[in-house]
Amino acid sequence: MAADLAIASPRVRADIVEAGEFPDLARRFNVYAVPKTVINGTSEVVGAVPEASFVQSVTAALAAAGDEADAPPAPS
Amino acid sequence: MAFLTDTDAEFVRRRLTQEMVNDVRLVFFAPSAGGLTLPGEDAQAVEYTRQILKEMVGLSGRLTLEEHSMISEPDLAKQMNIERVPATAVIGLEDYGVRYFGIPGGYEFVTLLELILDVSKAAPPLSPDTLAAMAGLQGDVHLQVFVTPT
Repeated sequence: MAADLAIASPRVRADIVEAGEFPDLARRFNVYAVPKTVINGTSEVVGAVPEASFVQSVTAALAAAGDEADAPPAPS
Repeated sequence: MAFLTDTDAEFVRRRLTQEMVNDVRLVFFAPSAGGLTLPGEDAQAVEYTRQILKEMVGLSGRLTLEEHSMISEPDLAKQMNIERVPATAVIGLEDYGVRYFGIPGGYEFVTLLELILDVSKAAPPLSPDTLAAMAGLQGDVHLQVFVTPT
């Protein structure tokens, strides 16, 4: 699925990460069950989910990042 | 000793022969090239990965293997978003940003095979809604799919 999205869009890149070889990454993202997909280092999808659900997670992650970028700065 | 059993090798050979559309390059990054092992480097993981890739490439004339060093070619590694090794970029007509980080050991060789075939076909079996969503993305997306060898 991840590779399919990367092939479909130049804005997407997909890494398959073997958790045993990179335990620091697995710890950082709390990988206890696989497959686990981390989206832009912030959102996650655990397990194999239907295509529409996965795409929704991707667009939601982008929307949340956009909301954070648009939020007014906290008063000092 | 081969990593792929005879049965697995025949399975891979058959699927590559029947399903590949465009040629695919496996661009492998190791910490260093030429068999040099650096302190702290997991030489075994690198060597296992190298051997598995060589075995897979040996099963199809449409699959080639290139090896690079992250240490001596840091600009290339950065350009290809390779920050950790061992890493394999799977490249077809274009570089679609598909990477495998780590050893494609155990049955993970099937995952690598599927990446090769997906990149080769370059026609992802996605719904029209998904394709539209991908065309309308308003930002960059980095997907990291964690797997473990079984």
